[in-house]
Amino acid sequence: MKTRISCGMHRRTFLATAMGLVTLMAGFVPQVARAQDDGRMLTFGLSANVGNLIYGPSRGAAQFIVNQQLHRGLVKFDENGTVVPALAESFEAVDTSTYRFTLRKGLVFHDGTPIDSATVKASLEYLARRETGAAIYAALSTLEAIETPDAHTVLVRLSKPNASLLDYLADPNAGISPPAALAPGAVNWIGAGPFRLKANDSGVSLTLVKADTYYDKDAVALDGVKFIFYPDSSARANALIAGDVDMVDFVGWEDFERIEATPKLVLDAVPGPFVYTLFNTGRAPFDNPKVRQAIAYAINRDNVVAAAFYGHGNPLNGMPMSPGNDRYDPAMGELWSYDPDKARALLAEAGVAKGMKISLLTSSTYSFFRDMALSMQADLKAVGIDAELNAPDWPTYTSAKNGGNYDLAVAGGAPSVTGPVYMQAYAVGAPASSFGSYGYDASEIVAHIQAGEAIAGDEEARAEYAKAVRIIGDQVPFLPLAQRSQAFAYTDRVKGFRNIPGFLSITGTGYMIEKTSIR
Amino acid sequence: MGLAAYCGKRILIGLAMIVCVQVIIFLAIQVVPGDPVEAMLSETAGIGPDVVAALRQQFGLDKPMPVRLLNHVIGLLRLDFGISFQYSQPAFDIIASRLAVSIELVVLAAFFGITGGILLGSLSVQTRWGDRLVSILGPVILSVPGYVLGSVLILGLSLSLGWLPAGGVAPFSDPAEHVRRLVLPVVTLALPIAATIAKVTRFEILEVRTQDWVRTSRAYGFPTRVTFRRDILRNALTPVLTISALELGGLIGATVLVEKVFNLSGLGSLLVSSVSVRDYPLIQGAVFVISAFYIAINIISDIMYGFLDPRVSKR
Repeated sequence: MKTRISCGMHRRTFLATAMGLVTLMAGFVPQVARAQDDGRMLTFGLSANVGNLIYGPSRGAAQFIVNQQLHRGLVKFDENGTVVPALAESFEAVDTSTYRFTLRKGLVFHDGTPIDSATVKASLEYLARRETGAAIYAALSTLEAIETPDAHTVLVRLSKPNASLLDYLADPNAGISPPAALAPGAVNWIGAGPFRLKANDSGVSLTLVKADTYYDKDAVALDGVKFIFYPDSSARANALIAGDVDMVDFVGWEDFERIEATPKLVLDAVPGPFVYTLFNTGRAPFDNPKVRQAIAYAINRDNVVAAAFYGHGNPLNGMPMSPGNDRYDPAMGELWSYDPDKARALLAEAGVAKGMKISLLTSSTYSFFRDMALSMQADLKAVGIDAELNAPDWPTYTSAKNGGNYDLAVAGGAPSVTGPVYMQAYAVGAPASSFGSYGYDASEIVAHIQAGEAIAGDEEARAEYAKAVRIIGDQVPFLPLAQRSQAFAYTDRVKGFRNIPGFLSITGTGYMIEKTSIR
Repeated sequence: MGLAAYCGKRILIGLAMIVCVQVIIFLAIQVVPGDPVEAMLSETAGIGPDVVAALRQQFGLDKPMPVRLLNHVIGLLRLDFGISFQYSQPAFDIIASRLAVSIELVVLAAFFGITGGILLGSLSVQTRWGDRLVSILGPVILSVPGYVLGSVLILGLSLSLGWLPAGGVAPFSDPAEHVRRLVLPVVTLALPIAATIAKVTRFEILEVRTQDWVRTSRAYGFPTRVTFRRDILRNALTPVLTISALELGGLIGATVLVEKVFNLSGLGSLLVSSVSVRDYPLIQGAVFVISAFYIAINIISDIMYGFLDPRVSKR
């Protein structure tokens, strides 16, 4: 006999409906603090998808953070941005061309393979090969020899002095890797870092767990890190606010206020990478240093910061400097100022006609590139230069920049070393260096920077770098405009993490995760 | 021509279309300015033309274009799209993992959108409130872009009320969480489909119920419910199914904005990100899958017509 309930519904129908409703309600129970359920696992919303790790090349900030958990080099950066021992228990600069590293005893990779001086030699020699396309190729291209007098000693000899070699060796792409990873296209998941790979859900997440093989495993508080890929910055901020993740990197400037206004969230912002302008020095009018100087006085940096970074950045009137490095002189940061009258006078002196038309290359891929160009366009108009924007996507922009198909171009810089040697890559003109102004001959500047690198004492070295900077002030081979705020954000349950100020916000902060804990 | 010959002909035309699409895409991405190696090395200091040339050789980009095209077509026959430049993984594996996300999203959105649309369309001709719902809400939903609808749902149900996650996918091993994360994107995609289908269903029902056989059915004294289900709705659904097939075929690569808002790593966002770094193997592979899917849906739809109306296959 069929039972009917009072409203005329069949019993089976009623039960099925009730079950469905219960299931539905279970799904809707508030679970904001989802990320809290995982104990000492840190759930990290990462700003880009990370595919297979390949040893050597730079693939962006998100990959740096993953590399720094799985891999470890001879040295690393600490929370103050100082180079400290890592796989090497000690190091010394025999002179500015020779470095000696003493490895810790009993080092192994995650799979148990031992690490000795021969492993280190093979790794560094692989990074020094041109075809590897390694992030630290510029530093290791002067590698003369690596000697391994015993299983724990590595002696690196360079053909030219390089006082910043240790900074390069602390780069996230310079972790010592097993022999199997030293081939083009070979995957590089097994390292000597504080965490090892547990699961790779391609395109979605990476799950890392604490590695018992790590030399400093007792200092690692977390049980693991789950990286969930959030390429869209709004989606990333939403995930943090909704409690889906404990921490995110690269907070969009438009989300700063929203995160600061959310209780129990911490916005950890520091002055980070910088933005700058390039000139095509291979043709008029920017082959004339006076015209380049005029641009240096024409651009209102405060407007650039306001337009491109929602006010979250610092205007630059000279060379950006990484804090805590003794090789800088504060005067290096005071080369130009915003002075449109002076800009007009310099243009007149150079014989540039009012209403001169130029092309200004930017990229539509990054909104801050486009906004920076728009801000510059208005400033240039004010001094009588009519700049036409060319804003293609990133690969087209890169090809145009490297090929000199522009008059002025906007660009971004994130040096991986803290010392003034970083300026060399920006001063040397393209095509020799893809970061520099097309056609610029920087041999004089390079000579002073190299002389500085050859000097061990900071004060004497500083004098050489200052000479290089004076030439930059006069010749304007590139024009730094603003240092942008670079932010991580996390819940207040995350402790021990610190965003390293300066250039190292991108290349050094990932090392802080091994010092991080979660309540 | 028999039905088998008709099906064979449709499938052969479909395969030829896929090859054409592949050749066009291959040539198009070579013509577009921008170099994948230069883009990849754009953040590495001290890179000169020598390193770029070495990597171009490593990726096989130094070979003449006809040789690369031939290699690509041979690879296609083995479903080998090559190695992704940016992820250093076989493009096929990446696409397969993203396709699973896209298919799940699209199938669920299509299912709820189509069934909901048919239900609402039917109610709209039977009840006054249904009529108002479809006439007022339908155009509103259709006029709101998907990413706006998605953002509003996140703001309301996730950030304000905390009922559902703001985005992302969860593995099948955690089915409850998997479903919770799908609710908002599926609703975002399904609502416009439901609005379209409801509108078409309503129009078709109004059309069909004036037909002679409906009047005859009523004259025989069949209950209204039976007449509606058997004589009106069934006949009204044929064009609805055609529209549904087109919606389904078009959705597979067109969910980019919804994927972006909800942080879903589907095929659409993969294609967009691959184009933005000129990852040729991924672009070609993703276009292959999207075009194959769309063409397959069309072939199935053509063959269905052949079944439903034998005159079609005899043409």
